[in-house]
Amino acid sequence: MITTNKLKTELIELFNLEGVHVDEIADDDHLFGDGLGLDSVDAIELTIFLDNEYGIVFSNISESETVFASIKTLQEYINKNESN
Amino acid sequence: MKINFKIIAMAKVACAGKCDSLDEKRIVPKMMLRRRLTRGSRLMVYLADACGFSEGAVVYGSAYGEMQATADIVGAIDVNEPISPTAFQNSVYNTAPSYFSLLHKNKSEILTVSNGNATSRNVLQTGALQAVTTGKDVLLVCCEAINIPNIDEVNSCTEYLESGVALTLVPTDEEANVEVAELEHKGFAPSLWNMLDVLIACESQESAVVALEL
Repeated sequence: MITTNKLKTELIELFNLEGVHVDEIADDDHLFGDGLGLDSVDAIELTIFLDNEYGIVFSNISESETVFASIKTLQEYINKNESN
Repeated sequence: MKINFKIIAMAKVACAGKCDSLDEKRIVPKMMLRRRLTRGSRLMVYLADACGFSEGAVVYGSAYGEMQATADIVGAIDVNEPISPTAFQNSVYNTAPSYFSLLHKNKSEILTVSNGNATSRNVLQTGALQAVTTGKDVLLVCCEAINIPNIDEVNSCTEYLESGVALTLVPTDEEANVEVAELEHKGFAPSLWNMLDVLIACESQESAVVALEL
């Protein structure tokens, strides 16, 4: 099981979010747009990360849109679907 | 044919390992852009800033290109993993000047040159031609960032694993007042030597004018 704090730490490292600390990110912060500010390249990077680290592969794009909505939705999805 | 150019600004940087003080937070205040900068890009924006250049044509050169991004791609292929899109977009030779243009919203022409040890010689020629064509000042930058894991297995001659040199020049009718000698710049990648020759020759002159071969 991954905690939201562990996930935030992994995202900070994955996206090289220098100067951003775990306690500055709320669980319901959006990953894209006005939240963490990630973009379309990051979406692909995150998809690859989920495959490599948790064995998660999305079957369709709309599924990932829902999962990538916030830190919380991503954490819940990982805990429900991880296979690694 | 030789044409005279006034050297408006110049800068260099050289570090045995990773250059720690490239002033990225001031030069690239937006973290979401800064986080993606390659080592070559960080060297380039630092040198451009040191030359006070943010708008205009740029000629960029690197013999080895974006070594870390390339190594990341090769490493992923080796272990049969998907290639990172960030590594992919950062692996091209014009990554550094492209980030420079994004940073400064610079819409002027960028040319990127890579020709082994002759890289900075060709950057000088290309930059000179660009300056003559446009009549405006041009930024010339050559960088090498070969500070990747295991580089010692293949490198024994380049001491400065991160290094770069930059010149800003503009054509002039003034007489050349500097003689450029071809020197051996120990510790630097040979791809930088010809631009280092110009920089060293001009360092002692307050208003240096050099004759460059087109």
